[in-house]
Amino acid sequence: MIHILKEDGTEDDVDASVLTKTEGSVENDHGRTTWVEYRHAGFLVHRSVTTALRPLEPVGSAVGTFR
Amino acid sequence: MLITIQRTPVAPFTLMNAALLNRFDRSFENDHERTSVVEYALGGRIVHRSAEVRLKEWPTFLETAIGRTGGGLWPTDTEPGSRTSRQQRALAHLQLGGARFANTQAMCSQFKVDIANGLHAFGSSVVRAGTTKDSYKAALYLASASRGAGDTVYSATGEVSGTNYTAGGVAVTTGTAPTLDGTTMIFTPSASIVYTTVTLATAFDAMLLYNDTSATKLAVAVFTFGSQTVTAGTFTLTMPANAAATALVRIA
Repeated sequence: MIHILKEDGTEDDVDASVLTKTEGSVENDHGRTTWVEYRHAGFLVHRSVTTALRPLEPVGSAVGTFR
Repeated sequence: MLITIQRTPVAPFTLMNAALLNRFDRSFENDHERTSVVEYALGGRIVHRSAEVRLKEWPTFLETAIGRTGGGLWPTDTEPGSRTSRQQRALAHLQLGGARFANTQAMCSQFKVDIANGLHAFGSSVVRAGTTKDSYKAALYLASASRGAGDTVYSATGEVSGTNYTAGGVAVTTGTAPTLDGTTMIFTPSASIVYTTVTLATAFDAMLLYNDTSATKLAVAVFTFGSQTVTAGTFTLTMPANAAATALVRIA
């Protein structure tokens, strides 16, 4: 069962077999992202996304001098 | 001008007019320090000596060489006994935690962990009510928002809104305490951050990690990712490996 947002704005759970599924992924400067979409009669009714967080640049440990 | 002198190593300190003493100024400089010395002599004996040592930064060009050659090794195109090779071996030995034969200027590794655990307060504005760890949250922001390094606290301005998304975002799991990997403090949330069954129709591309325990909701960091929308679905932010090269928050 897939949770969907219908064209009329209401939500429902429907069998995946009545939907058209597409999946994709992209890897760029923002990291790796994957998604899955379900459409019903061409209308996007479900989209889930998973994206990998990129680490922050490490904080440096330079110690000042007495100069 | 009066100078403090000591006529012998066991004699008491006394004051003497500088005009009655012979003054010598000396200085030397090497890769690690610049030292200035002033001495006063009386009858050929040094009775006063002051020194000022100005420490220098670690010679970074040698760090590069060490990274290339590895600890304890030397380039094959130089003589092992050459001055450069000896310096590289010595510095590599120190940096890799070997036996110490000189003092090394560095931030103590444990200090980095202690910062993350709130054990230091150089300022006067830190007030902690307890010893338990703080709670953190992750809020999502529209691609049109302007979150960044200037943020000091959580703000609802530019935050996403939609079905099943609560302003302020979701809790972040911090099951793994800050620790050291080598000399780098590392911290990474111990689970993915998940927004379940949400509809976020307007594109968003940022997450603010903030301290939900602090009264003002102190900001920690802003993370950006590819612009997204979600429809009756789940948005998941997965975590990198908690290691020196990849952890989400690092003090190197």
